[in-house]
Amino acid sequence: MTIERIRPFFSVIFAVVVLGLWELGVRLFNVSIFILPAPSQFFGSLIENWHGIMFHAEQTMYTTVIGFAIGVTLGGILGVAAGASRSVYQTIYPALVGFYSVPKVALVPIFVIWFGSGTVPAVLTSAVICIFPVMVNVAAGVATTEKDLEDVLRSLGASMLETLWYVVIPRSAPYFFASLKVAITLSFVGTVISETVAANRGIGTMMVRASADFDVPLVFAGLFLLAAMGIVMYAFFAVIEGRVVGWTKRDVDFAT
Amino acid sequence: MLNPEAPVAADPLDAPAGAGSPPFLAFQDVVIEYGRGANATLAVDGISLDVADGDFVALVGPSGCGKSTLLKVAAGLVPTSSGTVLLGGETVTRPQKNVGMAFQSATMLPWRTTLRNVLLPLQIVRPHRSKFRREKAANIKKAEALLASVGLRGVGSKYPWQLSGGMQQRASLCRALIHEPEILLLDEPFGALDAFTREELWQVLQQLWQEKKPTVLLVTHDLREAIYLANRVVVMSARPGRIVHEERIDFPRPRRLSMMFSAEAGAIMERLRGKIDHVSLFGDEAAAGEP
Repeated sequence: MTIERIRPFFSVIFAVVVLGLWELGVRLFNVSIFILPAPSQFFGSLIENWHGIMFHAEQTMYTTVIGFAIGVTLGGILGVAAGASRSVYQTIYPALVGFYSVPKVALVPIFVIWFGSGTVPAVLTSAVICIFPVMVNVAAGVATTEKDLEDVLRSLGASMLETLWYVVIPRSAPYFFASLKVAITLSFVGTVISETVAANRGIGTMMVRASADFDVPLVFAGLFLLAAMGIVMYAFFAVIEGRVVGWTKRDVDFAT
Repeated sequence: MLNPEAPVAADPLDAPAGAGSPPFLAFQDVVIEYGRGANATLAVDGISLDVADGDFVALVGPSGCGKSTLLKVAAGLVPTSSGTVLLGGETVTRPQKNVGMAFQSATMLPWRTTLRNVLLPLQIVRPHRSKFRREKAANIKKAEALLASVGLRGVGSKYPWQLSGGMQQRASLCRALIHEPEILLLDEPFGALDAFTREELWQVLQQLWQEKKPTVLLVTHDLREAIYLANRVVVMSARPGRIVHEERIDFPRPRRLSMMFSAEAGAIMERLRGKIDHVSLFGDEAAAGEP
Protein backbone atom coordinates (compact mmCIF):
# COMPACT_ATOMS: atom_id res chain seq x y z
CA MET A 1 0.00 0.00 0.00
CA THR A 2 1.50 3.31 -1.04
CA ILE A 3 1.27 6.53 0.92
CA GLU A 4 -0.74 8.08 -1.94
CA ARG A 5 -3.57 5.64 -1.40
CA ILE A 6 -3.96 6.19 2.31
CA ARG A 7 -3.42 9.95 2.23
CA PRO A 8 -7.17 10.69 2.03
CA PHE A 9 -7.61 8.83 5.32
CA PHE A 10 -4.93 10.77 7.18
CA SER A 11 -7.52 13.17 8.57
CA VAL A 12 -9.63 10.32 9.89
CA ILE A 13 -6.61 8.60 11.42
CA PHE A 14 -5.61 11.89 13.02
CA ALA A 15 -9.07 12.38 14.60
CA VAL A 16 -9.11 8.79 15.88
CA VAL A 17 -5.63 9.16 17.39
CA VAL A 18 -6.56 12.44 19.14
CA LEU A 19 -9.75 10.95 20.55
CA GLY A 20 -7.81 7.84 21.60
CA LEU A 21 -5.19 9.88 23.46
CA TRP A 22 -7.97 11.89 25.05
CA GLU A 23 -9.70 8.71 26.25
CA LEU A 24 -6.41 7.33 27.50
CA GLY A 25 -5.49 10.55 29.31
CA VAL A 26 -8.84 10.86 31.05
CA ARG A 27 -8.71 7.24 32.22
CA LEU A 28 -5.04 7.35 33.18
CA PHE A 29 -5.34 10.51 35.28
CA ASN A 30 -8.81 9.66 36.47
CA VAL A 31 -10.24 13.05 35.40
CA SER A 32 -13.68 13.82 36.80
CA ILE A 33 -16.55 13.52 34.33
CA PHE A 34 -17.64 17.01 35.45
CA ILE A 35 -14.36 18.48 34.21
CA LEU A 36 -13.59 16.57 31.05
CA PRO A 37 -15.64 13.56 30.01
CA ALA A 38 -13.88 10.89 27.96
CA PRO A 39 -14.94 10.44 24.31
CA SER A 40 -16.58 7.16 25.23
CA GLN A 41 -18.70 9.01 27.78
CA PHE A 42 -19.95 11.77 25.51
CA PHE A 43 -20.43 9.40 22.59
CA GLY A 44 -22.46 7.30 24.99
CA SER A 45 -24.48 10.37 25.89
CA LEU A 46 -24.92 11.15 22.20
CA ILE A 47 -26.35 7.71 21.49
CA GLU A 48 -28.43 7.60 24.63
CA ASN A 49 -30.04 10.99 23.96
CA TRP A 50 -30.07 10.61 20.17
CA HIS A 51 -33.73 11.55 19.61
CA GLY A 52 -33.61 14.52 21.95
CA ILE A 53 -30.38 15.75 20.42
CA MET A 54 -31.68 15.37 16.88
CA PHE A 55 -34.68 17.50 17.81
CA HIS A 56 -32.27 20.31 18.65
CA ALA A 57 -29.81 19.58 15.85
CA GLU A 58 -32.52 19.84 13.22
CA GLN A 59 -33.41 23.30 14.47
CA THR A 60 -29.77 24.44 14.49
CA MET A 61 -29.13 23.09 11.01
CA TYR A 62 -32.29 24.60 9.57
CA THR A 63 -31.67 27.99 11.20
CA THR A 64 -28.05 28.05 10.11
CA VAL A 65 -28.79 27.16 6.51
CA ILE A 66 -31.47 29.84 6.17
CA GLY A 67 -29.32 32.48 7.86
CA PHE A 68 -26.34 31.45 5.75
CA ALA A 69 -28.38 31.70 2.55
CA ILE A 70 -29.59 35.20 3.46
CA GLY A 71 -26.14 36.34 4.55
CA VAL A 72 -24.38 34.96 1.48
CA THR A 73 -26.91 36.53 -0.86
CA LEU A 74 -26.57 39.95 0.77
CA GLY A 75 -22.80 39.61 1.07
CA GLY A 76 -22.51 38.60 -2.58
CA ILE A 77 -24.61 41.53 -3.81
CA LEU A 78 -22.78 44.03 -1.60
CA GLY A 79 -19.46 42.54 -2.66
CA VAL A 80 -20.19 42.91 -6.37
CA ALA A 81 -21.38 46.47 -5.81
CA ALA A 82 -18.41 47.43 -3.66
CA GLY A 83 -15.93 45.76 -5.98
CA ALA A 84 -17.37 47.28 -9.14
CA SER A 85 -17.95 50.82 -7.92
CA ARG A 86 -15.47 52.93 -6.04
CA SER A 87 -18.25 55.18 -4.79
CA VAL A 88 -20.19 52.28 -3.33
CA TYR A 89 -17.02 50.92 -1.78
CA GLN A 90 -16.12 54.19 -0.12
CA THR A 91 -19.68 54.82 1.00
CA ILE A 92 -20.52 51.53 2.66
CA TYR A 93 -17.20 50.04 3.68
CA PRO A 94 -16.48 52.04 6.84
CA ALA A 95 -20.03 51.49 8.05
CA LEU A 96 -19.81 47.76 7.43
CA VAL A 97 -16.44 47.46 9.12
CA GLY A 98 -17.91 49.22 12.14
CA PHE A 99 -20.97 47.01 12.09
CA TYR A 100 -18.90 43.88 11.78
CA SER A 101 -16.68 44.91 14.70
CA VAL A 102 -19.68 44.78 17.05
CA PRO A 103 -19.72 41.42 18.83
CA LYS A 104 -22.66 39.50 17.38
CA VAL A 105 -23.74 38.32 20.80
CA ALA A 106 -24.53 41.97 21.56
CA LEU A 107 -27.00 42.03 18.68
CA VAL A 108 -29.06 39.10 19.88
CA PRO A 109 -30.95 41.02 22.61
CA ILE A 110 -31.92 43.62 20.02
CA PHE A 111 -33.19 40.98 17.62
CA VAL A 112 -35.12 39.43 20.52
CA ILE A 113 -36.73 42.79 21.34
CA TRP A 114 -37.77 43.17 17.70
CA PHE A 115 -38.77 39.63 16.80
CA GLY A 116 -39.15 37.70 20.05
CA SER A 117 -36.99 34.74 21.00
CA GLY A 118 -36.52 31.58 18.95
CA THR A 119 -35.84 31.04 15.29
CA VAL A 120 -35.86 34.58 13.89
CA PRO A 121 -33.03 36.07 16.01
CA ALA A 122 -30.97 32.95 15.38
CA VAL A 123 -31.46 33.21 11.62
CA LEU A 124 -30.58 36.90 11.70
CA THR A 125 -27.46 36.42 13.82
CA SER A 126 -26.34 33.64 11.54
CA ALA A 127 -26.97 35.86 8.48
CA VAL A 128 -25.29 38.94 9.89
CA ILE A 129 -22.16 37.07 10.85
CA CYS A 130 -21.49 35.79 7.35
CA ILE A 131 -22.30 38.89 5.29
CA PHE A 132 -18.94 40.48 5.86
CA PRO A 133 -16.50 37.71 4.92
CA VAL A 134 -18.49 36.97 1.76
CA MET A 135 -18.65 40.63 0.84
CA VAL A 136 -14.95 41.29 1.40
CA ASN A 137 -13.94 38.30 -0.68
CA VAL A 138 -16.33 38.95 -3.54
CA ALA A 139 -15.33 42.62 -3.62
CA ALA A 140 -11.68 41.57 -3.85
CA GLY A 141 -12.49 39.20 -6.72
CA VAL A 142 -14.49 41.80 -8.60
CA ALA A 143 -11.95 44.57 -8.03
CA THR A 144 -9.04 42.44 -9.24
CA THR A 145 -10.70 41.31 -12.47
CA GLU A 146 -8.21 41.94 -15.26
CA LYS A 147 -9.08 44.99 -17.33
CA ASP A 148 -8.01 43.04 -20.43
CA LEU A 149 -10.71 40.45 -19.87
CA GLU A 150 -13.31 43.18 -19.48
CA ASP A 151 -12.01 44.83 -22.65
CA VAL A 152 -12.59 41.60 -24.58
CA LEU A 153 -16.25 41.83 -23.67
CA ARG A 154 -16.51 45.58 -24.08
CA SER A 155 -14.91 45.46 -27.52
CA LEU A 156 -17.73 43.14 -28.57
CA GLY A 157 -20.24 45.78 -27.51
CA ALA A 158 -21.31 43.99 -24.34
CA SER A 159 -23.32 46.01 -21.84
CA MET A 160 -22.13 46.50 -18.27
CA LEU A 161 -24.46 43.76 -17.05
CA GLU A 162 -23.20 41.36 -19.71
CA THR A 163 -19.60 42.10 -18.78
CA LEU A 164 -20.56 41.41 -15.19
CA TRP A 165 -22.24 38.14 -16.11
CA TYR A 166 -19.67 36.78 -18.58
CA VAL A 167 -16.45 37.98 -16.95
CA VAL A 168 -16.65 39.61 -13.55
CA ILE A 169 -18.86 37.05 -11.82
CA PRO A 170 -17.09 33.91 -13.10
CA ARG A 171 -13.76 35.56 -12.37
CA SER A 172 -14.90 36.28 -8.79
CA ALA A 173 -16.42 32.84 -8.26
CA PRO A 174 -13.25 31.35 -6.69
CA TYR A 175 -13.20 34.18 -4.14
CA PHE A 176 -16.88 33.64 -3.48
CA PHE A 177 -16.47 29.91 -2.87
CA ALA A 178 -13.48 30.44 -0.63
CA SER A 179 -15.60 32.78 1.45
CA LEU A 180 -18.49 30.29 1.60
CA LYS A 181 -16.32 27.84 3.49
CA VAL A 182 -15.52 30.50 6.08
CA ALA A 183 -19.08 31.78 6.13
CA ILE A 184 -20.75 28.42 6.79
CA THR A 185 -18.64 27.76 9.85
CA LEU A 186 -19.29 31.30 11.12
CA SER A 187 -22.96 30.80 10.47
CA PHE A 188 -23.05 27.96 13.00
CA VAL A 189 -21.38 30.28 15.49
CA GLY A 190 -24.08 32.89 14.91
CA THR A 191 -26.91 30.43 15.34
CA VAL A 192 -25.51 28.87 18.48
CA ILE A 193 -24.78 32.26 20.08
CA SER A 194 -28.38 33.27 19.56
CA GLU A 195 -29.68 29.92 20.78
CA THR A 196 -27.69 30.13 23.99
CA VAL A 197 -29.17 33.57 24.70
CA ALA A 198 -32.77 33.31 23.66
CA ALA A 199 -34.36 30.14 22.34
CA ASN A 200 -36.04 26.99 23.56
CA ARG A 201 -34.81 24.76 20.80
CA GLY A 202 -31.43 24.20 19.18
CA ILE A 203 -28.03 22.77 20.09
CA GLY A 204 -27.09 26.04 21.83
CA THR A 205 -30.15 25.86 24.06
CA MET A 206 -29.51 22.20 24.75
CA MET A 207 -25.93 22.86 25.80
CA VAL A 208 -26.90 25.70 28.14
CA ARG A 209 -29.50 23.51 29.81
CA ALA A 210 -27.14 20.55 30.01
CA SER A 211 -24.46 22.63 31.67
CA ALA A 212 -27.03 23.95 34.15
CA ASP A 213 -27.79 20.29 34.97
CA PHE A 214 -24.04 19.50 35.19
CA ASP A 215 -24.60 17.00 32.38
CA VAL A 216 -21.10 17.63 31.01
CA PRO A 217 -21.08 14.62 28.64
CA LEU A 218 -24.18 16.06 26.95
CA VAL A 219 -22.46 19.47 26.61
CA PHE A 220 -19.55 17.75 24.90
CA ALA A 221 -21.92 15.70 22.77
CA GLY A 222 -23.42 19.00 21.59
CA LEU A 223 -19.97 20.39 20.83
CA PHE A 224 -19.06 17.27 18.94
CA LEU A 225 -22.25 17.43 16.90
CA LEU A 226 -21.65 21.09 16.03
CA ALA A 227 -18.16 20.21 14.87
CA ALA A 228 -19.53 17.36 12.78
CA MET A 229 -22.20 19.55 11.17
CA GLY A 230 -19.56 22.20 10.42
CA ILE A 231 -17.31 19.65 8.77
CA VAL A 232 -20.15 18.22 6.69
CA MET A 233 -21.22 21.66 5.43
CA TYR A 234 -17.65 22.70 4.79
CA ALA A 235 -17.03 19.52 2.79
CA PHE A 236 -20.25 20.08 0.88
CA PHE A 237 -19.13 23.51 -0.29
CA ALA A 238 -15.61 22.29 -0.97
CA VAL A 239 -17.04 19.68 -3.34
CA ILE A 240 -19.22 22.24 -5.11
CA GLU A 241 -16.23 24.57 -5.29
CA GLY A 242 -14.18 21.87 -6.99
CA ARG A 243 -16.92 21.28 -9.52
CA VAL A 244 -17.57 24.91 -10.33
CA VAL A 245 -14.22 26.64 -10.06
CA GLY A 246 -11.81 23.76 -10.57
CA TRP A 247 -10.21 25.84 -13.34
CA THR A 248 -8.43 27.92 -10.73
CA LYS A 249 -6.46 24.90 -9.59
CA ARG A 250 -5.37 24.19 -13.16
CA ASP A 251 -6.44 20.71 -12.22
CA VAL A 252 -6.12 18.00 -14.84
CA ASP A 253 -9.02 16.09 -13.28
CA PHE A 254 -11.29 19.08 -13.75
CA ALA A 255 -10.59 19.30 -17.46
CA THR A 256 -11.13 15.69 -18.39
CA MET B 1 -5.72 61.14 -46.54
CA LEU B 2 -2.02 61.24 -45.89
CA ASN B 3 -0.48 63.63 -43.50
CA PRO B 4 0.76 66.27 -45.95
CA GLU B 5 3.81 66.99 -43.86
CA ALA B 6 4.88 63.37 -43.61
CA PRO B 7 8.12 62.69 -45.40
CA VAL B 8 7.54 60.99 -48.71
CA ALA B 9 9.18 57.63 -49.07
CA ALA B 10 11.62 56.91 -51.86
CA ASP B 11 9.42 54.07 -53.03
CA PRO B 12 7.48 55.33 -56.09
CA LEU B 13 4.62 52.99 -55.23
CA ASP B 14 4.02 54.90 -52.04
CA ALA B 15 0.48 56.12 -52.52
CA PRO B 16 -2.59 55.82 -50.31
CA ALA B 17 -4.33 52.53 -50.95
CA GLY B 18 -7.87 52.66 -52.21
CA ALA B 19 -7.57 56.31 -53.12
CA GLY B 20 -10.83 57.44 -54.61
CA SER B 21 -13.16 55.11 -52.72
CA PRO B 22 -14.23 56.25 -49.25
CA PRO B 23 -12.04 54.71 -46.52
CA PHE B 24 -13.55 52.03 -44.31
CA LEU B 25 -11.76 53.30 -41.23
CA ALA B 26 -10.75 56.94 -40.96
CA PHE B 27 -8.99 58.80 -38.19
CA GLN B 28 -9.53 62.54 -38.58
CA ASP B 29 -7.25 64.83 -36.56
CA VAL B 30 -7.47 62.53 -33.58
CA VAL B 31 -6.04 63.95 -30.37
CA ILE B 32 -5.95 61.88 -27.19
CA GLU B 33 -5.07 63.32 -23.81
CA TYR B 34 -4.86 61.53 -20.49
CA GLY B 35 -5.87 63.42 -17.39
CA ARG B 36 -7.20 66.93 -17.17
CA GLY B 37 -5.91 70.45 -16.73
CA ALA B 38 -2.28 70.93 -15.82
CA ASN B 39 -1.68 67.21 -15.41
CA ALA B 40 -2.93 66.33 -18.87
CA THR B 41 -0.56 64.21 -20.93
CA LEU B 42 -0.80 64.40 -24.68
CA ALA B 43 -0.68 60.79 -25.89
CA VAL B 44 -1.67 61.17 -29.53
CA ASP B 45 -1.48 64.47 -31.37
CA GLY B 46 -3.45 65.03 -34.54
CA ILE B 47 -3.48 61.66 -36.24
CA SER B 48 -5.18 61.45 -39.61
CA LEU B 49 -5.15 58.07 -41.28
CA ASP B 50 -7.40 56.35 -43.78
CA VAL B 51 -7.69 52.60 -44.09
CA ALA B 52 -9.41 51.30 -47.19
CA ASP B 53 -11.85 48.41 -47.11
CA GLY B 54 -9.94 45.11 -47.12
CA ASP B 55 -6.58 46.76 -46.62
CA PHE B 56 -3.93 45.56 -44.19
CA VAL B 57 -2.25 48.44 -42.37
CA ALA B 58 0.44 48.13 -39.74
CA LEU B 59 1.06 50.87 -37.21
CA VAL B 60 4.59 50.86 -35.84
CA GLY B 61 6.38 53.13 -33.43
CA PRO B 62 8.37 53.24 -30.22
CA SER B 63 6.63 52.04 -27.08
CA GLY B 64 4.45 54.65 -25.47
CA CYS B 65 3.73 56.42 -28.75
CA GLY B 66 0.02 55.88 -28.36
CA LYS B 67 -0.44 53.30 -31.10
CA SER B 68 -2.33 50.90 -28.86
CA THR B 69 -4.46 53.76 -27.61
CA LEU B 70 -5.28 54.63 -31.19
CA LEU B 71 -6.45 51.08 -31.72
CA LYS B 72 -8.62 51.26 -28.63
CA VAL B 73 -10.11 54.47 -29.96
CA ALA B 74 -10.98 52.68 -33.20
CA ALA B 75 -12.57 49.92 -31.14
CA GLY B 76 -14.65 52.47 -29.27
CA LEU B 77 -13.06 51.53 -25.95
CA VAL B 78 -11.37 54.90 -25.43
CA PRO B 79 -12.88 58.28 -26.40
CA THR B 80 -10.93 60.85 -28.40
CA SER B 81 -10.15 64.20 -26.81
CA SER B 82 -10.80 65.84 -30.14
CA GLY B 83 -11.14 64.69 -33.72
CA THR B 84 -13.27 61.83 -34.96
CA VAL B 85 -12.95 58.21 -35.97
CA LEU B 86 -15.22 56.96 -38.71
CA LEU B 87 -15.89 53.27 -39.20
CA GLY B 88 -17.93 52.33 -42.24
CA GLY B 89 -18.96 55.97 -42.54
CA GLU B 90 -20.23 56.26 -38.98
CA THR B 91 -18.61 58.05 -36.07
CA VAL B 92 -17.25 55.65 -33.48
CA THR B 93 -18.44 56.63 -30.02
CA ARG B 94 -18.77 53.20 -28.47
CA PRO B 95 -17.77 49.58 -29.26
CA GLN B 96 -19.02 48.37 -32.61
CA LYS B 97 -20.43 44.99 -33.51
CA ASN B 98 -18.45 44.51 -36.72
CA VAL B 99 -15.08 44.65 -34.98
CA GLY B 100 -12.86 41.74 -34.03
CA MET B 101 -10.08 42.44 -31.59
CA ALA B 102 -7.02 40.54 -30.38
CA PHE B 103 -4.67 41.69 -27.65
CA GLN B 104 -1.06 41.21 -26.67
CA SER B 105 -2.02 38.60 -24.12
CA ALA B 106 -4.40 35.98 -25.42
CA THR B 107 -7.03 37.08 -22.85
CA MET B 108 -8.79 33.74 -22.93
CA LEU B 109 -11.38 33.35 -20.19
CA PRO B 110 -9.79 30.61 -18.05
CA TRP B 111 -13.11 29.13 -16.92
CA ARG B 112 -14.22 28.45 -20.46
CA THR B 113 -12.90 25.73 -22.73
CA THR B 114 -11.10 26.89 -25.85
CA LEU B 115 -14.17 26.18 -27.93
CA ARG B 116 -16.44 28.17 -25.62
CA ASN B 117 -13.92 31.00 -25.65
CA VAL B 118 -14.04 31.10 -29.42
CA LEU B 119 -17.85 31.03 -29.32
CA LEU B 120 -18.03 33.97 -26.92
CA PRO B 121 -18.58 36.72 -29.54
CA LEU B 122 -21.55 34.81 -30.93
CA GLN B 123 -23.17 35.02 -27.51
CA ILE B 124 -22.68 38.77 -27.32
CA VAL B 125 -22.72 40.32 -30.78
CA ARG B 126 -25.97 41.07 -32.57
CA PRO B 127 -27.53 39.49 -34.56
CA HIS B 128 -25.76 36.22 -33.63
CA ARG B 129 -26.70 36.34 -29.96
CA SER B 130 -30.45 35.94 -30.51
CA LYS B 131 -29.96 32.68 -32.41
CA PHE B 132 -26.98 31.37 -30.46
CA ARG B 133 -28.90 28.55 -28.81
CA ARG B 134 -30.92 27.65 -31.86
CA GLU B 135 -27.86 27.38 -34.07
CA LYS B 136 -25.59 25.89 -31.47
CA ALA B 137 -24.57 22.89 -33.57
CA ALA B 138 -23.76 25.07 -36.57
CA ASN B 139 -21.86 27.51 -34.38
CA ILE B 140 -19.76 24.77 -32.84
CA LYS B 141 -19.01 23.39 -36.29
CA LYS B 142 -17.95 26.83 -37.45
CA ALA B 143 -15.72 27.36 -34.42
CA GLU B 144 -14.13 23.96 -34.84
CA ALA B 145 -13.46 24.63 -38.53
CA LEU B 146 -11.87 27.95 -37.60
CA LEU B 147 -9.73 26.30 -34.93
CA ALA B 148 -8.66 23.65 -37.44
CA SER B 149 -7.70 26.37 -39.94
CA VAL B 150 -5.16 27.78 -37.47
CA GLY B 151 -3.81 24.33 -36.64
CA LEU B 152 -5.83 23.74 -33.48
CA ARG B 153 -7.87 20.75 -34.59
CA GLY B 154 -9.34 18.87 -31.65
CA VAL B 155 -8.21 21.18 -28.84
CA GLY B 156 -11.64 22.80 -28.42
CA SER B 157 -12.40 20.86 -25.26
CA LYS B 158 -9.13 21.87 -23.61
CA TYR B 159 -8.92 24.77 -21.22
CA PRO B 160 -6.75 27.72 -22.23
CA TRP B 161 -4.25 27.04 -19.46
CA GLN B 162 -3.65 23.63 -20.96
CA LEU B 163 -2.44 25.25 -24.19
CA SER B 164 0.90 26.86 -24.96
CA GLY B 165 1.10 30.63 -25.40
CA GLY B 166 1.19 30.29 -29.17
CA MET B 167 -1.85 28.02 -29.21
CA GLN B 168 -3.75 30.44 -26.97
CA GLN B 169 -2.91 33.28 -29.31
CA ARG B 170 -4.18 31.26 -32.28
CA ALA B 171 -7.40 30.61 -30.41
CA SER B 172 -7.65 34.31 -29.66
CA LEU B 173 -7.40 35.03 -33.40
CA CYS B 174 -10.26 32.58 -33.94
CA ARG B 175 -12.28 34.42 -31.33
CA ALA B 176 -11.62 37.70 -33.10
CA LEU B 177 -12.86 36.19 -36.37
CA ILE B 178 -15.79 33.97 -35.41
CA HIS B 179 -18.46 36.64 -35.83
CA GLU B 180 -17.04 37.54 -39.26
CA PRO B 181 -16.11 41.11 -38.40
CA GLU B 182 -15.44 43.55 -41.20
CA ILE B 183 -12.40 44.89 -39.40
CA LEU B 184 -9.74 43.25 -37.28
CA LEU B 185 -7.95 45.37 -34.71
CA LEU B 186 -4.81 43.59 -33.55
CA ASP B 187 -2.87 45.02 -30.62
CA GLU B 188 0.60 43.44 -30.72
CA PRO B 189 -1.01 40.01 -30.82
CA PHE B 190 2.30 38.18 -31.20
CA GLY B 191 4.38 40.37 -28.91
CA ALA B 192 4.58 37.87 -26.11
CA LEU B 193 5.61 34.91 -28.27
CA ASP B 194 9.00 33.48 -29.15
CA ALA B 195 10.43 34.29 -32.58
CA PHE B 196 9.61 30.98 -34.25
CA THR B 197 6.04 30.84 -33.01
CA ARG B 198 5.60 34.43 -34.06
CA GLU B 199 6.73 33.73 -37.61
CA GLU B 200 4.42 30.76 -37.79
CA LEU B 201 1.50 32.90 -36.69
CA TRP B 202 2.35 35.56 -39.27
CA GLN B 203 1.72 32.91 -41.88
CA VAL B 204 -1.50 31.88 -40.19
CA LEU B 205 -2.71 35.47 -40.07
CA GLN B 206 -1.76 36.13 -43.68
CA GLN B 207 -3.69 33.07 -44.75
CA LEU B 208 -6.75 34.08 -42.74
CA TRP B 209 -6.60 37.56 -44.21
CA GLN B 210 -6.30 36.23 -47.77
CA GLU B 211 -9.27 33.94 -47.25
CA LYS B 212 -11.63 36.37 -45.59
CA LYS B 213 -10.24 39.75 -46.63
CA PRO B 214 -11.20 41.72 -43.53
CA THR B 215 -9.76 45.19 -43.09
CA VAL B 216 -6.87 44.86 -40.65
CA LEU B 217 -5.19 47.43 -38.47
CA LEU B 218 -2.20 45.86 -36.76
CA VAL B 219 -0.28 47.59 -34.01
CA THR B 220 3.23 46.25 -33.53
CA HIS B 221 6.73 47.27 -32.56
CA ASP B 222 8.22 44.56 -34.74
CA LEU B 223 9.21 46.01 -38.12
CA ARG B 224 9.68 42.60 -39.68
CA GLU B 225 6.17 41.68 -38.66
CA ALA B 226 4.81 44.88 -40.18
CA ILE B 227 6.69 44.37 -43.46
CA TYR B 228 5.77 40.71 -43.75
CA LEU B 229 2.07 41.20 -43.08
CA ALA B 230 0.95 44.66 -44.13
CA ASN B 231 0.18 46.47 -47.37
CA ARG B 232 1.00 49.75 -45.71
CA VAL B 233 3.27 50.49 -42.79
CA VAL B 234 2.60 53.69 -40.89
CA VAL B 235 5.33 54.97 -38.56
CA MET B 236 4.44 56.96 -35.47
CA SER B 237 6.73 59.21 -33.46
CA ALA B 238 7.42 58.94 -29.76
CA ARG B 239 4.89 60.52 -27.43
CA PRO B 240 2.98 62.53 -28.35
CA GLY B 241 2.28 60.19 -31.23
CA ARG B 242 2.21 61.69 -34.71
CA ILE B 243 2.45 60.01 -38.09
CA VAL B 244 5.91 60.67 -39.47
CA HIS B 245 6.21 58.23 -42.32
CA GLU B 246 4.28 55.82 -44.43
CA GLU B 247 5.52 53.05 -46.63
CA ARG B 248 3.73 50.85 -49.09
CA ILE B 249 4.80 47.21 -49.12
CA ASP B 250 4.16 45.54 -52.44
CA PHE B 251 5.55 42.05 -52.18
CA PRO B 252 3.29 39.50 -53.88
CA ARG B 253 1.14 37.26 -51.72
CA PRO B 254 1.24 34.77 -50.27
CA ARG B 255 4.47 36.11 -48.89
CA ARG B 256 7.13 33.69 -47.76
CA LEU B 257 9.32 34.07 -44.76
CA SER B 258 12.35 33.87 -47.07
CA MET B 259 11.13 37.14 -48.56
CA MET B 260 12.25 38.80 -45.37
CA PHE B 261 15.87 38.08 -46.28
CA SER B 262 15.66 39.77 -49.68
CA ALA B 263 17.63 42.94 -50.32
CA GLU B 264 14.40 44.81 -50.97
CA ALA B 265 12.90 43.87 -47.63
CA GLY B 266 16.18 44.77 -46.00
CA ALA B 267 16.11 48.20 -47.62
CA ILE B 268 12.56 48.86 -46.45
CA MET B 269 13.45 47.69 -42.98
CA GLU B 270 16.44 50.01 -42.86
CA ARG B 271 14.38 52.95 -44.06
CA LEU B 272 11.67 52.34 -41.46
CA ARG B 273 14.25 51.76 -38.78
CA GLY B 274 15.86 55.08 -39.72
CA LYS B 275 12.57 56.88 -39.34
CA ILE B 276 12.03 55.48 -35.89
CA ASP B 277 15.58 56.30 -34.81
CA HIS B 278 15.29 59.76 -36.26
CA VAL B 279 12.06 60.35 -34.46
CA SER B 280 13.21 59.17 -31.10
CA LEU B 281 16.49 61.11 -31.21
CA PHE B 282 15.16 64.33 -32.67
CA GLY B 283 11.51 64.02 -31.75
CA ASP B 284 11.09 67.70 -30.89
CA GLU B 285 12.66 68.84 -34.12
CA ALA B 286 10.38 66.63 -36.16
CA ALA B 287 7.41 67.94 -34.20
CA ALA B 288 8.44 71.55 -34.79
CA GLY B 289 8.23 70.95 -38.52
CA GLU B 290 4.54 70.10 -38.33
CA PRO B 291 1.70 72.61 -38.42
